[in-house]
Amino acid sequence: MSILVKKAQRGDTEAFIALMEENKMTLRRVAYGYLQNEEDVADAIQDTILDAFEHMGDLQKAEYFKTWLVRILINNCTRIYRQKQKIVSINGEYDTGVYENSDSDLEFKEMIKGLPEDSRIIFQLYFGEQFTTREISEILHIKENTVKSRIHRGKEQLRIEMQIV
Amino acid sequence: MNQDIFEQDLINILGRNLEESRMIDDKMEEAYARIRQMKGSRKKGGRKGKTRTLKRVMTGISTVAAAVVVAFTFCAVNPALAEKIPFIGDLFTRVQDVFPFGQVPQEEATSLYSGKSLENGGQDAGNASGMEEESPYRQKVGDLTITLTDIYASNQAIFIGVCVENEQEFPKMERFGENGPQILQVETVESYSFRDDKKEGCLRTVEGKFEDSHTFIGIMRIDYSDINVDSRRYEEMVKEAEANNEPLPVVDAEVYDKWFDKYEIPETFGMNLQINTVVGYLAEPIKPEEMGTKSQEELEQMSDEEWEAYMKSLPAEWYAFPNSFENWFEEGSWEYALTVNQSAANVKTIAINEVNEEGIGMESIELSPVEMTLNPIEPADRMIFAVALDKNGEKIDFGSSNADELAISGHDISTVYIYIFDYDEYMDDIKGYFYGKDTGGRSVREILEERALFRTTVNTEQ
Repeated sequence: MSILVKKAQRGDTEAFIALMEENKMTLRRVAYGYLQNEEDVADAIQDTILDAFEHMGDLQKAEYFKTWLVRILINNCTRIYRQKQKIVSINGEYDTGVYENSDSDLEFKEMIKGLPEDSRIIFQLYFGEQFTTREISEILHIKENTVKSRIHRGKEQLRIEMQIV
Repeated sequence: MNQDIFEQDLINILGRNLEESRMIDDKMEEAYARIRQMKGSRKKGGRKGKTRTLKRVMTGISTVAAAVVVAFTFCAVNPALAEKIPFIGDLFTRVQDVFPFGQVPQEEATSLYSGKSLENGGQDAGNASGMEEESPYRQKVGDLTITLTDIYASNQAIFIGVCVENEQEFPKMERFGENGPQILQVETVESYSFRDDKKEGCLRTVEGKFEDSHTFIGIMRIDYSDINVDSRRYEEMVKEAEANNEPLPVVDAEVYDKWFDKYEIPETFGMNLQINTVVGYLAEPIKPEEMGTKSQEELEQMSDEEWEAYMKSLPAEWYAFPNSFENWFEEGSWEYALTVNQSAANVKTIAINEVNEEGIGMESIELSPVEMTLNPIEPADRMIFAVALDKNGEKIDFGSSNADELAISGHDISTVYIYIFDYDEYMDDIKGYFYGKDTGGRSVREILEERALFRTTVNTEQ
C-alpha cells in the first residue's frame, strides 16, 4: 500500500482509486457499524472518497493512511446519522432501506446489531479492522482506557447473551 | 467455547468480506469519475465547486521565449531593492534545523546567488554584470523578489535554496510542530531537457523559516520519481476508454509498468522553472464560523440544514485555493533556467538482492549525504512496510511523504538494520512500539527481530 499512498500523494489519481478499492471492505464494514442502511453507507463512502482525495496532500505520514481514512469516514457517518435522526424524529420511523443479504453478510450484520450500541464501532475497529486500542482512541477522540473498558464490558455482555461461560 | 475462540469468532465475522453491493459500487464509481474530472485542477478546494482557477501566465511558452522572459525580468529588478539586499549565502546550513532532511551539503552545492558576489564560481558568473542585484536567479514581480540561492542534486533529488523577500510585511504564518518548519508553496510549470513535455500545475513545497517579517528562506526538494514518469500514453488510453464507454483497469503494478513510461535522469540536465503563484498558510486563518454576522451562540444552535445553507452563503472565494481567508498568496511569473549537475560525492547504490521464500526482500539501498532510499521487493499480492534502524538501533524516520525515503541527518548509518513487515500488521500494531506502547520489558529491537517477515543488515562502508 505504501507505494500507492506515495503515488496518490503525488497526484496519481489512479493510485488513489486503487487505494480506495483496497480499503473498500474496511470502509463498508465500519460505515455499516454506524448506519446499517445501504444507501447511507454508500453516501458516506462516496463523501469519504471525495474528502480523502481533496485532503490527500494534508496526510503527513504514509503510515497513518488507514487511520486517517477511517477518521474521515467516521466524521461522514456521524453527520449522516445525525441528519437521519432528525428525519426519524419528524417521520417517526427509521428507514433501514433494502440491503441484499447473503448468509455470510447476514451473520456479520446480526453480529453488529447484537453488539452494545456504545461499543459497536469500537468492536468493529478492534476485531474487524484490527486497529490497536491506542489507534481507536485517536480515531474516536476518546481515552484509551475507555476503549479498553468498553471492549471488556461488551465482550462480557455478548458472552451472557450468547450463553458462553 | 473458550475466550480465544470467542475472540477469533469476532475477528472472523466482523472482518469478513461482504458481498458486492451494486449501490455502493455505483456510488464509488461516481466519486472516481468526479475525481478524474478534477484531475488537473488544484487538490485543495477542487471539490468545493471552485469557481476560480489559478492564473497561469505564459504556460505555452517556448524555451526561446523563456529566455526573453528571463532577460526581461532580469532588467526589471528594482534597483531600490538592491540597497537592502540581505546576505543570503549558506542557505542550506541556515535552515538545516527545520528542514526535514536536515543538512544538505553546502560544500557540494552550486551557489547561484549569495547577495555578495557572483564572481566566485556562481553558475551565472560568466554572464553576470558583477552588480549583485542583476542575476537571472533573482527576480522581482510586484512586491515579491524570489531568489534561487543554491542548487544541489544527489542521486535521488534536486534541492534548491529559495529566498522570498516581500516589500510588504508577511502575515504570521503557520508552523508545523513546535520546532518544525514553516512553509511556502509554489505553483510551477517545469520543463526538463530530458523530456519533451512540460509539467504544469505542480505544487512544490519550500520548507524553511521566516527570518524576519519580510524574508523567508527554505529548500525546495524535487524528487526524481516526480519528474521521471511520463503518463501521457496512460492518459490517452483513459480518454479512449471513456469515449468508448469501456471500463478502466485498476492501476496495479502491471498496469503501471505497461502504460507509464520512465525516463533515465541524466547526470547533467537543463531545467526551466516557472513560478506562477506563491502561497503561505496563515497562522490565524478566518474560519467559516467567523465570516458571517451570527454570534457563536447562534451558530451552535443551527441545525445541520441551517449550517449547510450558511456554508453555501459563504463567499465563492472561500471555496478556492488559495484564498485570502486561509492563505497569503501572490501571483506573477518568476522564471529561471537552471543547469542541474548530479553530485557524485558520497553517493552510492548498494545492491542487496536478497529475498525470502515469500518473495519479500530488498533490492538495494541508495545513499546520498542527505537521504537513504530503501528499494524493497514487494510481491504483487502482499503489502509490506520497511523500517530501518541506524547503527545505534535508532529508527531512521522518513523526510518526505514517501515512507521509503529516509532522512539520515544525525544518524550513524555505517551499519543499517532493515526490517520488512506485513503492512497491516505494522500499521495496526508494530508501529505502536515506536510511540510508547508497552513492550512487556523487551526492547523494541527484539520485537522487530521477532515479527519481521524479512531482515537484513547492510554495511554501508563496504
